[in-house]
Amino acid sequence: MSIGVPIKVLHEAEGHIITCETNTGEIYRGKLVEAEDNMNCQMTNITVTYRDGRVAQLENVYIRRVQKLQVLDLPQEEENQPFLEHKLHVEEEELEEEVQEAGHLEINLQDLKVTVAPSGGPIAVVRDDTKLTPVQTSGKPIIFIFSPSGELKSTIKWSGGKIVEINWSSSEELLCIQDDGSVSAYDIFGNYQNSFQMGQEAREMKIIDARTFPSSTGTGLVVLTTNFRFFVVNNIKDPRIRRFPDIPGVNIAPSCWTAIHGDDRQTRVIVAKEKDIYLLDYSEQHVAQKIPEISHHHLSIIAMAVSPCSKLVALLTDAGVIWIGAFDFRRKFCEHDAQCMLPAVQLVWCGSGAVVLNLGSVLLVLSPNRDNFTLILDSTSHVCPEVDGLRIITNSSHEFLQKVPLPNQEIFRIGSMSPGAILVEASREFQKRSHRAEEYIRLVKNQLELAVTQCIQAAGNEWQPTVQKVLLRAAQLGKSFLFDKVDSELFVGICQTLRILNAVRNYKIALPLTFQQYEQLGKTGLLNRLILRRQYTVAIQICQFLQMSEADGIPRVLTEWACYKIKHGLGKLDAEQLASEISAKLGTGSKVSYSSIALKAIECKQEKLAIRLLDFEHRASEQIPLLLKLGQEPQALAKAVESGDPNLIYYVLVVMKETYSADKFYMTIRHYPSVNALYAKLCRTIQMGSLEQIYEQEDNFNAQAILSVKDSYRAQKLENRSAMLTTAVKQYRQAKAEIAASLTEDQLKLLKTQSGYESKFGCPAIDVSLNDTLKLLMRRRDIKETEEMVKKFKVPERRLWWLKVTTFAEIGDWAELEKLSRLKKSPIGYEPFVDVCLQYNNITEAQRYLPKVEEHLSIKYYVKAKLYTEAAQIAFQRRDTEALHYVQSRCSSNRDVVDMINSLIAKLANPSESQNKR
Amino acid sequence: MDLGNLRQSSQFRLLSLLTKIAPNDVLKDLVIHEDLMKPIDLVSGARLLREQGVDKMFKLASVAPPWKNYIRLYFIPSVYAVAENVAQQLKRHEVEKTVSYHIIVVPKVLTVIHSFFESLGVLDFVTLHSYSWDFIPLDSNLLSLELHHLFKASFLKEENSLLTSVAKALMSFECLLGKFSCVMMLGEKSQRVHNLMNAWKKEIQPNFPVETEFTHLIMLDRNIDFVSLLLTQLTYEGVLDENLKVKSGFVYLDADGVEGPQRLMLNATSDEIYGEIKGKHISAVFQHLSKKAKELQQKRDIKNTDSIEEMKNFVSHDLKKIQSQQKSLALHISACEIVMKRQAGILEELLELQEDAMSGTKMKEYLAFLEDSVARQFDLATILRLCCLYSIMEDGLPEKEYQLLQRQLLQAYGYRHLATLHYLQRLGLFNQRDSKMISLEPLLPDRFARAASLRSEHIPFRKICQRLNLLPVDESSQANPCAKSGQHPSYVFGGVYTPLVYHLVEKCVREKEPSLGDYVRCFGNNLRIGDCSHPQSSARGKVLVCFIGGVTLAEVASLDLLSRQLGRQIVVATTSTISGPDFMESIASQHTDT
Repeated sequence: MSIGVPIKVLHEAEGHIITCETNTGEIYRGKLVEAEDNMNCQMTNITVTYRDGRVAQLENVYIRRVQKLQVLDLPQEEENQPFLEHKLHVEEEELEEEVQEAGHLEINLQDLKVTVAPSGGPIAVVRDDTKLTPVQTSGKPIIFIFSPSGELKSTIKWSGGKIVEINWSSSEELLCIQDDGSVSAYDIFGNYQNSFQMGQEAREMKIIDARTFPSSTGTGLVVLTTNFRFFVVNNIKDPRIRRFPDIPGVNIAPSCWTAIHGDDRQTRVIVAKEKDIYLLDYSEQHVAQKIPEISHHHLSIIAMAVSPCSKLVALLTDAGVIWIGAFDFRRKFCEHDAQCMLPAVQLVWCGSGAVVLNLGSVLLVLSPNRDNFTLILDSTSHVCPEVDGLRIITNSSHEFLQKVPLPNQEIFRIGSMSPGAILVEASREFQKRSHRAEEYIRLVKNQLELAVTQCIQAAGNEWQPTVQKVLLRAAQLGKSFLFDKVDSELFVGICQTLRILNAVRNYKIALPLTFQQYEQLGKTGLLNRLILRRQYTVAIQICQFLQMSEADGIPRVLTEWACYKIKHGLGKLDAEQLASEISAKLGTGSKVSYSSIALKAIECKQEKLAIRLLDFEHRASEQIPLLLKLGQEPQALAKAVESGDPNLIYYVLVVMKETYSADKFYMTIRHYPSVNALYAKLCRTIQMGSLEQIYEQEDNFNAQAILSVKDSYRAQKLENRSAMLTTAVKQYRQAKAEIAASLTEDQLKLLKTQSGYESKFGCPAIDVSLNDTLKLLMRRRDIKETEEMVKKFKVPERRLWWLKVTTFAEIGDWAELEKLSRLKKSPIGYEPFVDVCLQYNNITEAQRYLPKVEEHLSIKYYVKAKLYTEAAQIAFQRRDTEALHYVQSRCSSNRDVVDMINSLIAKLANPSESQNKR
Repeated sequence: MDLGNLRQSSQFRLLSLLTKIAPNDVLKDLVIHEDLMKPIDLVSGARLLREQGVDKMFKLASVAPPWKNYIRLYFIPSVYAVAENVAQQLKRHEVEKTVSYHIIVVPKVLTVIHSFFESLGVLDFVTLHSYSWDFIPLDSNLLSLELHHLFKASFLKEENSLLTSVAKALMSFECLLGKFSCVMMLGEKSQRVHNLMNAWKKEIQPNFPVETEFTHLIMLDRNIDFVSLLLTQLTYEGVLDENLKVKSGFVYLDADGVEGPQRLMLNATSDEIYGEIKGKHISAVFQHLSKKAKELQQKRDIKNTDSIEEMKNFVSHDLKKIQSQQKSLALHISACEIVMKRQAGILEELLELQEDAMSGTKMKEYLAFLEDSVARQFDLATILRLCCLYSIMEDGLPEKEYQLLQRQLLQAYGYRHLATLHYLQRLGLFNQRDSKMISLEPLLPDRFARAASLRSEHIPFRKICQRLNLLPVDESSQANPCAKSGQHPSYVFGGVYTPLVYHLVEKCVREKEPSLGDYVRCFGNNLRIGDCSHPQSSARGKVLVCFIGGVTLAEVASLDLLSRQLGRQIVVATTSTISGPDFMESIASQHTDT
């Protein structure tokens, strides 16, 4: 006889805590010591719940033929499956510790206000004022914060006003809402973070109740004041208070209320007043009365809950009837008379598929399709809804209740013949090296892909590494038959995720996340959680494992670590030590943002440390604004110059200009030529300041003078220009630049003369050079004035001659030119005379001066004048063969001359021959 | 390796910017600032721009162009005055709601410009974008950033913000083509660029390709070797640049360099003839061209006699090539003609003078000639070049001559050139000997002068030349046999001077362990050797020579010669090409301070 699948499961459960129901209806919960193939079980440490509700403790039980294993027999709405109990993988000792810890503090959930952070977050408890408890400590309440594994993380000795409510935000901040509407946030370690107010009206009227709700932007908060008005903040990070419309009707306290944040990003408040239900809508400033269809008689609604998907609402009436329907109350899914005698403690959703009514130590689980059952716990409990289930916290345990995910159901249901289940069986046989493996595989041959996917998905939902392994091995086996048809990414992804989840579920880290929660949280979300818990090592290892990008991976964790270090190293270590410790850890090459660390240091009033840290920052654009913030302008300027980025230099300049006095400003920037240059440029382009001022500051008269000269050319009016030039002369004198000063004086003189000419001749004369002025005079044949000018400006003789020669030729005054040549021996020779004549193609005039050209140049000039014959003759006379060749090369087009020169060359070459001929 | 990669990366960024502004099928108008037209043309070309939906293209003028579409782009350099001009147009234009303006600023939107537009309150329909191109290949061995005003900004005004563009371009060069294993810097700006690169590498930690083709990066400041700028260039391309002004690889042959149809594209890869003559000494070019003309004619003639089959082949293949060659030949010949005409009068005199200046002989006559030429009203740029050459080689002018020359220059060319002389002095180009005593010296605070030039531990340039052996060895050999044949690098300057860069690169590359003792002695702190990680593996790698502040085409030619001699590819990257006349004109221009 072979052993069937369900029996196997029973065997698997050995050593775990399970719940059994006998056919007489008694429920046994305890550790399964041994299971036999015929379904007899031996259990220890039993809590038994009889059919009449009595509870008893038993040492040992032996049950014959278990009829109903609750683990497995609830196909739809699920239950406390042994595999899902968190306790299972918290080691036993740790459990004791938890109990001890709790025992030591004598924590009893009955007397406490409990709040649990979502997604496997920590637990905070505080004394519940509404319940009577013996005074143990001082009058001020103490808030205790426990990790999910029961470790006491911190205590907050509350010193503020009356706490109305404590609640966790989605980023795991503990919000303590006081009756005056002030909200203070604390981290897991009980460190104060920040606080905000809920507005004047809330402060004056006091608040009586508060709820948080998950919103699209983070966590929202609703408070109810004593005059029964609701104030809502949609995101506590950015508190903008909205007053909701008043509840109509008699001004009495609502019997229950809740906030709902839908997909349309609108927050609404559902209020029940006796039996009336109102939906308060802020955006429309509108109140709608809703009448759910409840067939059972009731006087009022005493509790309501919104499902995690924000689409369903559950109501509890005073008659113990639970109504489940859509949030607009138009549709009803079910109505169930829970018939509970005890007053309900909590009404919450378990995922979006079931409603749980917490009656203290008994949980009623109801689903819209009426698959209901009861769960009995060892002590008073507090339940906390999660997206995919429910966390149950009792005095000594912490459990998770969830609907068994479909793939897991398929695989582990008793007698399941789903492909996944068979594949798992095949894998088991395969491990045993049994031929049956082959048979099983053949059974699912056609659905192998589905089987593999089922196994992979189921593995993701499992808590126990051993079970995960079994499923993954099965998936691997299946995959090998599929070759490449299966996307291996799913498999690898799940393996990776499970590796991380198993690591963080460890009781020391205590982040009991389900797969679905992790998916919702994301990689960064998980990192954030770890950073909040100061689990930097694990965070870094996860970054490495996931090969996360630089931007949000390791550098971020390191930065957070450094920030923590600064905050907590305060006072213990000096700035220098701290800085070197941080830099030693972070290194300089990495992409850690030192500037954000420095910013933290500034926040902690550690300026010195911040400055030290900024030294390590190599992104100037990050570093400079902070340096400026710290008042380190010179350093900021130095860094900006180093970076070479004009925008940064400009930025620093603007700040410095504002904060520094003019003198100090100039003294600072004078050390940096490129800053000076940029500032000068800015002065010129956008009038950021006056350029003269810098030069004055520097006693730089020369630069001032140049500036004056340049300005003078921009001036339109002559008087202005003269004035500026006069200033320039003065400045040059101050600079002891005598030449420049005298040159400028000359220019002033020239300007004056020119303006005189302009009015005299009626033609533009200003703003040309001295040479041009002289030319102008010559052109006008104004010899007297010319002479005067020459004397005035000490024009050298040579230049004057050049000018005369060129000007006379220009105006074609050949007679004047000749007169000049006769005047006295030309100081510039007569070559220029020839040149100008040739320039204006006047060969005849040129011939006049050619004989006067210096001897060694004469041939060249004759050639220039194209008088080749003459040139050749001269060359011949000088017996210069080379010159003859030169002339010849220049006149190659003229046959006759070439021939003539040839003969001349021949003559020179053979003088004897020619003589002979003669 | 293909330097075209660089172009493609610039192109890609430009096109994706345009696509980001508006999808390709949305038509847009484009207004380009004059200075950016050529580079943008080189980066993408009009056809590609049209494919991105650019409809009308205008040149930026003082008034708004006749718009046609609702998306309007401006392409402007990051100059405040230009931004003001654009703002004026926006203001005048009645703004409709449907119109959106996009202003693309090259190379970067400055805060000043941004806040200016912000203060106008136009940012809701005006969007500012930054764009910068990488090195643009102008020729097979020449890359340029086309930043023509970098020299003046960085060296004259010490305004170094444009250096970031250089550093960025070098970074993307490294990202595309691999990391340099050996970096050498000569000059303060080069070091600054290198520092910027290092800082960024630390910051972004880019991934460099594993294989590197370029092993050496040699960076050089323009003010290290001014002589190459002052001497007359004698290679064909150098002559063209000095006389006709090469604009981003184009020369216009119409009267006075006005842009017109007579356009000559100077690119050796597309123009075979140009490739042959570009580095040749100008005196050899005309011969070569006439030889080439004959060859082409022959080719045509021979082919004319062949059978029909071959004829067909010829027409379909060779004819086109021959025709295009003939066309380019004609252009080159006319370019030669224009150049010859321009230089006819003075070239010989000039060359003689330059030789004198370099050898340091006949200095009296030299000065006399300068005075004469002032009297003769020569072209100012030419005279200033001669003056500066003298000043550099003789380590300043004697006091009397200096004062006299100043007075002469101002009297002849107008007083406003006092500023020009002042700028030249600041650059260390035109000084009085024993500069501590002179009058014009403290025109600027001392630190400016010190930072701008090498005054502080001043070594006369002639000493440098002698130590590095840059002047012809035998001073008597006037007609250096190598000068024209192009075997010796000094041929680019008619044999009077070997470009310093030739010597530097040769020293750095040729020897395994570069012995740069001479350079250290000459330049002191100005010389820096960056990370030289694998000198042995770099034996055959390519070399990138980067000029900060511009390169003359003569220097490019000398490096080309070196590359042939070593059998190693040497690519020149520069902020812009520069020539003597160009340089002087920009210094002397009235708008130097805007």
